[in-house]
Amino acid sequence: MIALKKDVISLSHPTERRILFEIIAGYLFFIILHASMIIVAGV
Amino acid sequence: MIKGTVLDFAIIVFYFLFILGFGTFFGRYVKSTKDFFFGGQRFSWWLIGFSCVATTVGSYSFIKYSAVAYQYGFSSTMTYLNDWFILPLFVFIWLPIIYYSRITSIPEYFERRFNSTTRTISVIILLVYLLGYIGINLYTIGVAFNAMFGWDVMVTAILISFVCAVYMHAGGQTSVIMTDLAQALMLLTAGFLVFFLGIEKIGSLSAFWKSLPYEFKLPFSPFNKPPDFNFVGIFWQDAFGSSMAFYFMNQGILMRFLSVRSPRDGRKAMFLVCLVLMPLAAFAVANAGWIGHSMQNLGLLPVGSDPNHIFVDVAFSITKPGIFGFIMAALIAALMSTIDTLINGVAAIGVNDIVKKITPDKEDTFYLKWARTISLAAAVIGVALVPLFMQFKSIYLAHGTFIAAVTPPMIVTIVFGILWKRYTTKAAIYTLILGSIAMLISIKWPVVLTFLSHGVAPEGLQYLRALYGLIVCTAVSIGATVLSKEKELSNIPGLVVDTIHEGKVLFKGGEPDDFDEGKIVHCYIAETSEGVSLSTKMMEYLQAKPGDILYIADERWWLGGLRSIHTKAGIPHQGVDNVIFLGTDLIKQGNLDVNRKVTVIKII
Repeated sequence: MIALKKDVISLSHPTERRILFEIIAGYLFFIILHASMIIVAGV
Repeated sequence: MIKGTVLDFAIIVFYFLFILGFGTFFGRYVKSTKDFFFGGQRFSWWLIGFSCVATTVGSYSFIKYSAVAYQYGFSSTMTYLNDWFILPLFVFIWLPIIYYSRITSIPEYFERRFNSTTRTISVIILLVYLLGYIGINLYTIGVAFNAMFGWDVMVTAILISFVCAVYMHAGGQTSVIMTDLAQALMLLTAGFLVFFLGIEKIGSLSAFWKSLPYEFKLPFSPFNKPPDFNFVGIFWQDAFGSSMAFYFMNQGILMRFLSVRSPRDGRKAMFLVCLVLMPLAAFAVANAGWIGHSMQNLGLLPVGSDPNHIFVDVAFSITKPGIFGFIMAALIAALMSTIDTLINGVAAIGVNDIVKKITPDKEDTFYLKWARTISLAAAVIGVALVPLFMQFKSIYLAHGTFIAAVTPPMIVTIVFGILWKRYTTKAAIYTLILGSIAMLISIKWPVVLTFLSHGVAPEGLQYLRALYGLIVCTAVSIGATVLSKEKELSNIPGLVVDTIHEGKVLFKGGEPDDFDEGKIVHCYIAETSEGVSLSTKMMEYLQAKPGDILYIADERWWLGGLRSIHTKAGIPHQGVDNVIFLGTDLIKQGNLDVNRKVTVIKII
């Protein structure tokens, strides 16, 4: 948010848009990983 | 009981000789301090990624995480899977700042961002952090070898630090990165080998799974229990204290990202580390503990093993002579890949922040000699610190306590320094000094941590020391800045988030051209007297203009950038499209082979 606010990154910039997407995908990956670990443990 | 056999011992000796030869071989690429510290700023993302993981995984990792995994289960992975949350801050802000401003050390950043006093204070804190880190790694390997061969802890520490210092002395950062690749592959292989051999010993994956209780399989430990491994304590100690310290103030890691060929590769390296290699490493370092717990439940291992010895005990009981030696060699590899980075980090601070300050304007060979001497001294001091860490009850406690006590003032100062332009020099000094005093108070009188307990029992309060440090240092930073009448610093291009663009301009010597990264092109070399010239078509593919900074490397990707050069694009030629005219000096500087194609990338 700080980087967006300070214009360090811009959503109109193709590379930076892709990095943002990759970071969000990474967060999703870890959420899914941990959720599946909990499910597999036997909840 | 001595566990290793002669064959195991022989494999370990072979490993020592191999890594010594492999590391010193790269001494041929070291001609200046730039090569010694930053490997010529030429390496590919995958090489840096593996190197970062080899540095993250120390010998203490196998011992400490196996011990935790043995006692508390799969939640031992928490500490390696929490790096992702700091990634945006690193990728968008810290990486461009360090890459484009070309700082050589954290203390140098402090001087350029604030003043020389902050530089001096940070030199002291960083040297304590790095030398202590070397000491704890040597102590851990001493514990493992003591269990394995009955060797004295100090003898092991001296032997290993000697081998590291020798190849570091020769090859500096290039040796570190190249040996790290071999060591990372080795330690990951050994970790997975322990798991597969363990499952074979147990009988089946299903038997392993069924032998473990439900709570053992959960990815997180309970919020505030048990006192020595609870969620809230681990979050503040590891995710904030250790991870932030590792990526933002560890001189070795800073140098690793300064060795990368472009910010794009730095970003890719970070993604590789957080998303792929760290989860693999989390599994590799901890699974001996899970296997040990399972074997114990099934009566295959005596009950009541010392958690600190569980890695060695499990490895010994599931392997045959020779394989055990390989796994122990991997443990040493993990140690050496961490220590060599730290030694290189100490040498960089020693030369850039101490020697160059005292004796400026000398020949580069003078500083290179000092870099090598300081590398040797760092190894000796690390050995001398081993007895200090021998006094702690557990390795996990010793490591965590040390990191959490030293790092918060530095981390908070760096984060405020890069994010808040208004953050003043006085505030930075107060944060470093008062923050460090506050941390010492919390070690002497842990009762001050009680108000942050989150319900954690008193014996687990030390895990919240990082949170305490964060609160105290943040309060000092904000308070001192707001109350200070000091003016906002205006001459800090590229050192704060607001001025990254100015940093890019200074780096390039002109307006940055980074809207479109362009394509990667491959060309044949045509040797010329000087400069570099690509065809108009290739310049279009690269989305490059004359004056843009290009990276030219040998087309063999697996060299990882070992033969490469950065240079500015010249006026395009109208000749054959896939030919690059390259000056003789550039070819020599980049160790390029005129008979091979090169890969060209636009940097900025």
